[in-house]
Amino acid sequence: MSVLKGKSAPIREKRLQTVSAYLGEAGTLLQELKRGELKQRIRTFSQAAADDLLSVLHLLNGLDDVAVVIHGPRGCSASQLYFDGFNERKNPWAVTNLDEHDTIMGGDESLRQAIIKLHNRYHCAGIFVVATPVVAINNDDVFSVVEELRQELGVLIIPVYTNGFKSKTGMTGYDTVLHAALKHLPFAEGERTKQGAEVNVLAVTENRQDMKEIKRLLAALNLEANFLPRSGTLQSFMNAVRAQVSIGVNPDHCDYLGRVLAAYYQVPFLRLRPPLGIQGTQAWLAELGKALGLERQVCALHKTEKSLVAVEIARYNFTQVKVYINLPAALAWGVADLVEELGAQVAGLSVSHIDQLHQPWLEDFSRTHPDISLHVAQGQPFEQANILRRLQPDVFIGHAFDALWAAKSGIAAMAVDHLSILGYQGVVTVARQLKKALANRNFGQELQESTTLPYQAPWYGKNPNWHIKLEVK
Amino acid sequence: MAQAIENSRNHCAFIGALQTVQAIDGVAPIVHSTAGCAVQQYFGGNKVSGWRGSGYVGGGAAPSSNVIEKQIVFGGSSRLREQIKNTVKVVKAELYTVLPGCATELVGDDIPAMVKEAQEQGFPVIYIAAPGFKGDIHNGYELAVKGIIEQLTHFSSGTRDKISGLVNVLGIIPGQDVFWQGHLLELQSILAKVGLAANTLFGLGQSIKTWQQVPQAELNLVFSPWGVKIAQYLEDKFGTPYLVVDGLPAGVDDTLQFLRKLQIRLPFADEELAAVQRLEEQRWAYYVEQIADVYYEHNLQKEVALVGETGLILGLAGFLSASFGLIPKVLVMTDPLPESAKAAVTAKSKQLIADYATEVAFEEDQERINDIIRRNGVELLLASSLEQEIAAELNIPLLPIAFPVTNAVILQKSYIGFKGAITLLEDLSSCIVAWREEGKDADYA
Repeated sequence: MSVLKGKSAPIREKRLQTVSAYLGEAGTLLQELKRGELKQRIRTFSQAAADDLLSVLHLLNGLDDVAVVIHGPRGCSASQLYFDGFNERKNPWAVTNLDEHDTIMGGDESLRQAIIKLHNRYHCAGIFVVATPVVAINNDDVFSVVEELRQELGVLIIPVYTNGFKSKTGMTGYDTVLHAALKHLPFAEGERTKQGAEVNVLAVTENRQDMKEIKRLLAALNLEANFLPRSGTLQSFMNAVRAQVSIGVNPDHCDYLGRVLAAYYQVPFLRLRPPLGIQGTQAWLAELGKALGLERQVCALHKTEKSLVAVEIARYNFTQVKVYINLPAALAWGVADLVEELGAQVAGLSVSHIDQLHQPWLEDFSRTHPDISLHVAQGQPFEQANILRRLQPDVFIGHAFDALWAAKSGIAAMAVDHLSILGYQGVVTVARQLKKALANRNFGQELQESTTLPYQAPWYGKNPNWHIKLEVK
Repeated sequence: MAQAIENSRNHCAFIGALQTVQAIDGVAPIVHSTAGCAVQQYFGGNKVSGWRGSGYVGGGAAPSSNVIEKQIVFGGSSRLREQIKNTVKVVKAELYTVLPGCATELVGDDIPAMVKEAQEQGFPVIYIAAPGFKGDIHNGYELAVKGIIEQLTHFSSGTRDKISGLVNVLGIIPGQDVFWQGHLLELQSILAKVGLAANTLFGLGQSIKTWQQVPQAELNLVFSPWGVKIAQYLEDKFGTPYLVVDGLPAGVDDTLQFLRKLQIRLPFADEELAAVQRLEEQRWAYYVEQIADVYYEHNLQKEVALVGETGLILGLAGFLSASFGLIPKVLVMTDPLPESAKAAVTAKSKQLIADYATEVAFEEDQERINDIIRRNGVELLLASSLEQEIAAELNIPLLPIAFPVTNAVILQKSYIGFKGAITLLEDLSSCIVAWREEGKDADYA
C-alpha cells in the first residue's frame, strides 16, 4: 500500500466504488457489489448536499491545537462559524478571502499572510491549508507557499487538496484530510514499540455526548485509549503508530485512517459496526476485548450494563411502531438494530452512501428485510417527502437536516445530532426520546398545519426514484 | 489583492444573494455550483444567525445542481438546463432565481442563455450573477435586491403609478442583521403610526406581490450604506426619491427625529406626530422609572464597546449614550464599507459624550478587533458570538447584537424604534445582572 505517495487520497468512488444516489431493492446493489461493478448513479434534479470541503472543516474542528487556513473566497469558510460551536476549545482559523483579481492572478500572497499571521499569534502544533473549488480550478500552486513557509517559520504546515467537485460524496473529504495529515506528519521511519496506548479509537464525526459514552466504556475496562482525530491532537497521530490495535467508531468515516495505520505501521484495524444497540455494543467491545485479551472483563461489563439498560427500557413498549431511519450508512444499520431491539419495526431506510465496505451488511439487510427499499441520498428531502408519503411511518429518526422536513410531512420526528445514541446509554436515550416523540406530537402537528412542503402535487405521483439515473460515462 | 481575515464574519456575495432570496416568500433559489455552497449558507449563515430556520425551501431543500468534475471540465450549462427544467416541475414557487457559484462562473457556463431559454418557455426564472469571488455578503444583498426588482419587470406589466404613503425599506440585510425580522416589523409599526405603509420586502407578510410594488413607492428609506446603491438605481429607473437615515433609529428621541426628517420628505399631519410623541414619551418615562433601581444598584453605566454592522451600531451607540448614560468608548464597524463612506461615519460618532473620545474603527479581522477592545479597557461588550473569547479574557459581560449569534434564538426581537429600545434595556441590564449573579464580577474593576 503506497497510497500515501499520492498528492491526495483517491476519491471514494475510485477507492470503494461508492454510490450516492439509489432507490430500490438492496439486493440489486448487492449483486452489483458482488460482481465488483457497482454502477454510478446521478440525479437530474438535486438539492443541497455537502462537499469534501465541509467534511474537512468538520473533522479539523474536532482536532485540538491546530490552526486552519481556508484558501478561497470568503464563503468557503462560512461553516466554521457553526462547527466552532461544537468544541470546548476553538481552533484559530482564517480565510484568504480570494477576490475576482485573485481568481485570475492567484492568491499566493494572501495565503502567505494568513499562515504567518496565525502562526505568529497562536503557535499551534500545525497549520492545515485547505484548498477550495476556486483554487482547484485555477490549479493555484499551494505547495510552493507551504514548502517555503515550512522552512521560514519552522512549523508543520499541511496542505489539504479539497476541490468540491471530484467526488459526489462529501465523505471523500475525511480521507483527503486524513491522508494529508498522515502524509506530512514527521513519523520516524520504522519506529514501532509497544509503549503507546493500548488502543487507538478512531472517531471522526461523533458528537460530544457519544464520545463521552465511548470514553466511559473504555474507562470501565481500564483501557488507556488514544483518541483521534476527534478530541485528539497531532501528537495523537504520532502516538497512534505505537498502539496495539485500532478500532473505529463509525467505520465509514475512519476507514482510511485505520487502513493506513495498519498498512504502514502494522497496527491491526478492527473495522466493526458502530457500537449501537445492546448487541451491537457487545459485539464492538467483544472484538476489542479479544484483540487485547480482555474477554473476561468485557463479559462482566456487558452483563452489568445490559441489566441496567434492561431495567430502564422495560417501561417502554414500541411494538407495532414503524420507524423510518435516515442516517449515514453505518449508523443507519446500527440504529435499525437498536430500534428492533426495542421492539419497533423498521419501515424504511435512507443512507448517505453505499460502497464495498457495506457488502456484508447489505447481505444481512436484504435477507432480513426483503420488502424494504433502500434509499441512498445525502439530504434530498424531495425524495424523502415522496417516500414518507407512501410509507406513512409512525416516527422518523435522523439528523435535524432531514428530520425537519419529515416533521413538516406530519411524521413524528427525532433528531440525533446532539444525542448520545452509541453504547448502552444510547439505547436508553433513544427509547426515552422515541417515547416523547410519539406521545406528544403537538408541535409537529402545529408545524404541519402551519406550513407546506415546497413540492408540486404531480411530484408525489411519480416514483421517488424518478430523478436518479445511471451515469453515462 | 485580498487580505486574509481571521474569523471572517462577512461571507461571500453568493451567500448574501442566497439568503436574501430565501427571505422572500414564494421565491425558490436554484443554486448552480459545486455541492457545499448551499450548505455553507445554511450552516454558516442561517444557523449562526440566531438559529434562523430553513424556511420554505432553504437549508437542505435548496435546489442545487451540485456540479461534478466533468461539468467543470466540459462546462455545466446543460446540467443547469436540466436542473432548471426539473426544479420548476418539482418545486412550487412564484419565482425561481438562478444563483451561480464560483466554479460555474469561472468555467464560463452560459447561464443567461439557460435562463432565457426557460423564460421563453414561460417559466418565471431570473438570474443573479453574484458568485462568491465577486464580493462579500453585503454586495450579494445589493446584487440580489437590484436583480430581482430589475428582472421582475419581465413578468409583470403592472402599473408604476405611485401609491400614496408607500415607502420601501432598504439596507437591512436578512440574516446578516440578526434582528432583521424584528427590525422590519418595528419600522413597519412606527411608520403605520403616521399613516405610512412600509414595504419591508422580506419576511413576515411580504411576497412577490409586494416586490412588484417597489416602483410604486413614494420614497425609499435607506437604513445602512448597503441600501444606497439600490436606492440610486430606483431613483434613476422609477424616479423614486430616497432618504438615507444614519443608523437605525433607537429610542424615543432618535425615532422621533427620524419621523421629523421623514415628514419633510413625505408630509403627514403634525397632530399625528404629536400623538405618537405623547404616547411614546409616556411609555419611555414609565420604564425609565422602573429601571432606575437596578441601574444604580448594579452600576449599569458602563464603558462599552459596540462591534457590528454600521447601521445598527450607529443607532444603538446614539441611544445608549444619549438616553441611558453609557459611555461608548469603541465602535467597530465590521461591514467592509467603501472608503468614501467611512469619513462621514467617523465624524458622526467620534465624540458622542463630552470628555470621552470614542475610537471608531472599520475592521473585520478578529485579531485586530480584539486588540482594539483590549487597549480600550471597556466594561461591557455589545458584539457578536465571535467576541466571546475576548469577553472571557477581559472578564466582561457580552450581549449579542451582531452576526454571528450562536447562543441565542432570535425570532421577532428588535432593539430599535420605540419598543425595541426598551427590549434592549431589558436584555442589556439582564446580561449584566446575570453575569454578576454568576459571580463573574469577583475581580471586576
